[in-house]
Amino acid sequence: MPGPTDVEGDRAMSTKKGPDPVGHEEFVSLFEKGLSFTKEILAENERLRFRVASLEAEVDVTRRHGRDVDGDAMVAALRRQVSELEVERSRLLSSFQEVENLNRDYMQRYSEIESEHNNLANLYIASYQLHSTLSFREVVQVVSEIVINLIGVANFTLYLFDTTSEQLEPLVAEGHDVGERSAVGLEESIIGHAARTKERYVREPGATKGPIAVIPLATVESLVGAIVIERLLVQKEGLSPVDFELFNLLGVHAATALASALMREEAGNDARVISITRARELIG
Amino acid sequence: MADTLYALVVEDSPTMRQLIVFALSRVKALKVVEADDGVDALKKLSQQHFDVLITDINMPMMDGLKLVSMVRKDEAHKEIPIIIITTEGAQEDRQRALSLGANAYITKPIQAPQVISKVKELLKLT
Repeated sequence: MPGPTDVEGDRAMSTKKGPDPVGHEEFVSLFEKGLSFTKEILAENERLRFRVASLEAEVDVTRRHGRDVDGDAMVAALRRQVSELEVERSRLLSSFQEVENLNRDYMQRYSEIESEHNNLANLYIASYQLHSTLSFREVVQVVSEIVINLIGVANFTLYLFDTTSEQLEPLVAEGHDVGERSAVGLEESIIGHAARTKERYVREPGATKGPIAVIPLATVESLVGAIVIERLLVQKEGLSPVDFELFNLLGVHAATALASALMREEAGNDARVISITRARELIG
Repeated sequence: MADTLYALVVEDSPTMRQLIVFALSRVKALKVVEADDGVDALKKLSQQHFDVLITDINMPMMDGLKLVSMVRKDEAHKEIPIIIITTEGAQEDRQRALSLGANAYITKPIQAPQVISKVKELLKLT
């Protein structure tokens, strides 16, 4: 676009002196150029004014935004937000901790129930087996199996109380020959004392002498015998709570099973008769 | 793997056998067959397929170690997982059983979860 300092234009204006046809044409041409130039100037002016108006509008918007994102207000808002998030984080951490504690409790409870289930299974099977037969030999076998396999005993002796001699007589043993053990009077030693009082004996932890445990076998009416535990299996570190439950079970159930099996064997074929008449007499 | 898996429990003590069977009853899809000793076990192994064999060591007729040895020599059963459950807790007993081909060795008195876990592991049950 030609500017106002157009050299050709200046020169043309300065050469206009009089009515010269050639000069007139040049003048018209120059005038038209000037007109065109003026129109262009006006259009440019209009465009620039529009541009200025747009920029002013943009400045206004920027200023308005500048007020909205005022530094102090923004920091305060962010601090508030951080504070709220901190509270939320604490709440979530607390909830997480609670859930974790609950989870730990559940795991602990599950483990206890699992252990309880296992113990009950042991007790149920021991009891079931003890009363599954009236053969004295088999009952003795079951007592031995319970002591060896369920409690985990390497050496023990099963004594039977002989009512004639009034002594505990060794009947069967595991881990040693039964002949190595002699009869025990009720006034003698830990074994005799436990049998006489019908109170279980368990060796103090750390002690090394004497039997590990003596379990009297007795019914409400009478003493039947005793189990003397002398050594546990190598892999067994000590007695556990279920072992004491098994001691309780053996104390009564092994006693009744042994006594009834022995009496049945003594009675011979007569004991194989089941008479409803006799049964009715017995219950009155 | 088949829907139903079969375990053979070899144990001369009825009390112990019942305890193992009771524990294994908690493994879904597992059916248990019982044998009194090694001879009875070999007979049952010849009659049907088993996915796992669980055996005691000290038994009359044929003990558990002899049974393991014979099973491993048999082409039909040489891959069957074998678990020993025994009172013998000495390290040399364990080594001997494992060297004969047992896959796992559990000492008595047993804990049901321990047996269940080992059976599941060997049968690749989740």
